[in-house]
Amino acid sequence: MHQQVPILKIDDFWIASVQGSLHDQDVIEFKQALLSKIMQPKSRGLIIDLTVLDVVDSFVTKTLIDIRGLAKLMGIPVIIAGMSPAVAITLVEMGLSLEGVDTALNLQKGLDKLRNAGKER
Amino acid sequence: MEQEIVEFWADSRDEIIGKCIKLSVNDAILEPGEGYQGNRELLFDSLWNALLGDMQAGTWAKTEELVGGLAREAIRYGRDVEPIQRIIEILMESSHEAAKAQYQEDPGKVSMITGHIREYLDKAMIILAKSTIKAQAEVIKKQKDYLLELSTPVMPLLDGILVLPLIGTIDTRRARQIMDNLLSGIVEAQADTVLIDISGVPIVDTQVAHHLMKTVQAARLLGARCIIVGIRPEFAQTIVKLGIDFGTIVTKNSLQAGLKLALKWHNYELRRVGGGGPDASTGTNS
Repeated sequence: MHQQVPILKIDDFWIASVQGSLHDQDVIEFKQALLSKIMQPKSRGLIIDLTVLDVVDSFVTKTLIDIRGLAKLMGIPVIIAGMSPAVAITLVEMGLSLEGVDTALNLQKGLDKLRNAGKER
Repeated sequence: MEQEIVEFWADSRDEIIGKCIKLSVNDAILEPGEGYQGNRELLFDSLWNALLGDMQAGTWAKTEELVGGLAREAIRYGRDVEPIQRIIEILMESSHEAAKAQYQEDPGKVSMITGHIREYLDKAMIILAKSTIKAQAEVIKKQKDYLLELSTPVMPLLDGILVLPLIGTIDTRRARQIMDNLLSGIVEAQADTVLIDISGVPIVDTQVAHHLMKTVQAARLLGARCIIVGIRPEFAQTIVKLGIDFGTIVTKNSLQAGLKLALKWHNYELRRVGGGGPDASTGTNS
């Protein structure tokens, strides 16, 4: 039994909302699904929403960093939105501060950020 | 034999209490102790009763209750426990005297009887010490909690801007609390900008700098930007000397400068409307 992460599209932005903790296999599938979506022409940005996620492991974190690197190669900005304090503390304690990854407090602010970034270009 | 000794103590109760009171008058330790000089008769009496009761029952319960209660009360009201200790000592002296007076011709019996009471009074001393330490530890713990409660306010300044003034020494426990408070404050207020004022932190070492970095990183993960303000020259020197990389962390020299930057990030503009200076006719607060 595995968990699908819904990947939605608003305007030209992709939004993936991670629900609950993911197994390693799910994480790999999630990454593949995301990459195939943002490969599509006209994609302008990706938001990964972690609002309901309360546990992360190092593999998920590594995948987040990977996704950001790959998307950057494709010219797509990535924003991580709605991380909870518990997750943030865990990551910092593990020494993974996701350097260079853009963050936003919530989905709305993430979208605003992407739109602004689009305008500046 | 045991029965006989207990009976002896019960019979000589009045004599011993009388001796105690005589001894305690003008006693250097009992004299200034508030509340002890006045009701010392009652104290001797109740302590002796508790001891006798325990001797007859073969337990420590009554002594423990009385002495423990006295110690807790003394600590709670900030009094010294030395007078209580002195009271036990006086009881020891006077009972010794009473035993000597009763069995002048038999030193063996005297030492046996006093040995018996000594056992009980020693136990009372131990109870006193234990209760005192326990009560003090409770007081210290309470004060620690109060201090932590007081010490980390997270203040919403403007829509989306928080201020976290840090005052006093930061240890690991406090750093943890600061991080928790700040992160929940950020989520609660949905604030994107946090001004951390460290001008009130007297000593900044590697530990503190490390905690500060972690807090800033965690806030960034949530999606909030931090501006550290009020870095004093000594702190700057420590940072440079220790080779800590503050690279991506935004710093400003004063709270005002930090606030200006935060306002700029939020597209606010701060400017005076009308003439300069506070309005003299309506008072400076308007």
